[in-house]
Amino acid sequence: MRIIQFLPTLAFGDAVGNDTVALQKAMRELGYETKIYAEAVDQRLPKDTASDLCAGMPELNPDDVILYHMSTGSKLNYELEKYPCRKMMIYHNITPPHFFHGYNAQAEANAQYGLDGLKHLADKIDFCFADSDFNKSDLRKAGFACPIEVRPILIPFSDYEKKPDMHIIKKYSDNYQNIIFVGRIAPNKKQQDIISAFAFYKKYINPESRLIFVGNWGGMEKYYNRLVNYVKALELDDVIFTGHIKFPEILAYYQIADLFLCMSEHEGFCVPLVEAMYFQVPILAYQSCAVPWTLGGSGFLTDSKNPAETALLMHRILTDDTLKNQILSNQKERLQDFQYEKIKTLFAGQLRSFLQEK
Amino acid sequence: MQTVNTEEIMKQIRTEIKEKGLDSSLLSFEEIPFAQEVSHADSNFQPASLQQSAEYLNIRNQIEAYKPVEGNFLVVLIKKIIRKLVKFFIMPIMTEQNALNLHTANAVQQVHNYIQSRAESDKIDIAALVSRIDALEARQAADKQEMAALRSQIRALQLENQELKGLKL
Repeated sequence: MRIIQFLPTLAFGDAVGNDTVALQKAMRELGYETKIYAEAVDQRLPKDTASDLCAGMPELNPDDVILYHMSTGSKLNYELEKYPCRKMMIYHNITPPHFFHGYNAQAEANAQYGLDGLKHLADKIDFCFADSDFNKSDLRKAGFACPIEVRPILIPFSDYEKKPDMHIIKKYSDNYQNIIFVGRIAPNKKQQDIISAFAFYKKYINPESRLIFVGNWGGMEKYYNRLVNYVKALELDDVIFTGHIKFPEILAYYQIADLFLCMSEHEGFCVPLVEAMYFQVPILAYQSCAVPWTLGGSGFLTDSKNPAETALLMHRILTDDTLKNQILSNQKERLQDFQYEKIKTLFAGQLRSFLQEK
Repeated sequence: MQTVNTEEIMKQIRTEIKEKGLDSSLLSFEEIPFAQEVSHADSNFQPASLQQSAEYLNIRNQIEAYKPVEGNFLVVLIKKIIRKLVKFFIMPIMTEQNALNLHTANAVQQVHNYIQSRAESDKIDIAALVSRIDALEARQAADKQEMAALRSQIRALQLENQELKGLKL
């Protein structure tokens, strides 16, 4: 029996790519024969990480198992059924198309194509993993009646022990409060709500503060330009868009961060929240989508998008040591749930129970 | 987990806003017009832009001829027949296009790698120059100190000389 991981694109450094590679490692450690097949493999990954699906899939037996990573629109969503073996799926979530409206017609169409593909797969999958409770409920809404288990993304924490970029640490280690958000510049992440809260915070509470958006805007140039224009219209200084940066630079931004502010309205898991927990940065987040599940009672959740309320909350967390320590202590506790060995054991149990079913 | 009384904190914050009369009305994002079409013809070199394009090409350089057909049964049937009929024509073009895309992606990645390696070596050169400047500055400071010490020695000798001349007289 082989377990074939199967996905349209194996990208370098994104959550799905990291999860796929980490699962391959975990399954090999558990003694399974496994391989990754993808239509597009990022050239920055080591050459033997995955095989090119365009060069053909191996002959699959009924004993074999496909583990399909579902996160986008692809013809694979319609081809999966032709393989004569059992099928498992990991659902990483698809951003609803309406978020991209007016910014990127291709992304909007692809998201719709993905959601249609998801519905198509509903009766063709034998077992599902969902990254969060939120993803599980999305699968049920899409018509999946098969068993679904929640299994958080496998995060390679050892990567975070690498040396951060010292130039950035030196540059921003001053008396300013550094507010950060890490994630792609994308309309579903609602960076505009972070900007408006920061505008209030900087104007009325603490002028010695800066806002740093760590993430690239590739494919979302229209949204990025609109955000930049918003910053200009608010006459705001000290708002930084890093664009795509190297990993040591990302680590450096976490090191200098005083607060992680997330106003996102659509996340399937949100790895940066776990990263903020790892770097002991207090989190203030809007209560929506998978965010409450990922925080698991830690961080500080708000149901408000009022800039004044968010700004005063930021100030409270940054200045009230008791509250800050409570948040950090809870985050430290929640972080334990995402440890590699813990997720690997959870995954191994879920996998075993599915494989034993015939 | 320790209990954080979020409701109480929110209540206090709302009261504070009311008491201080803080005006939370800001320019809304909705008032910002959608940006015009994004121009890629910027005359300035933007490393981040090159990196993003290289990354995009790395992942999405292979196009697909397959698209799901939509419509009622008859429309789907007709579309599928048309698709079968033109397959012999489309597929070789797609293969050629994919080969071209792959080489383009590779070329862009190579340019990006080259620029990055140049930037890295420039960084090393700059670091070496900075440490050389630091060493020279330190040497200059030491020389200045030495010169000051010599000057004071000269002054002392001059004074001694004057005193000796005075004694002779």
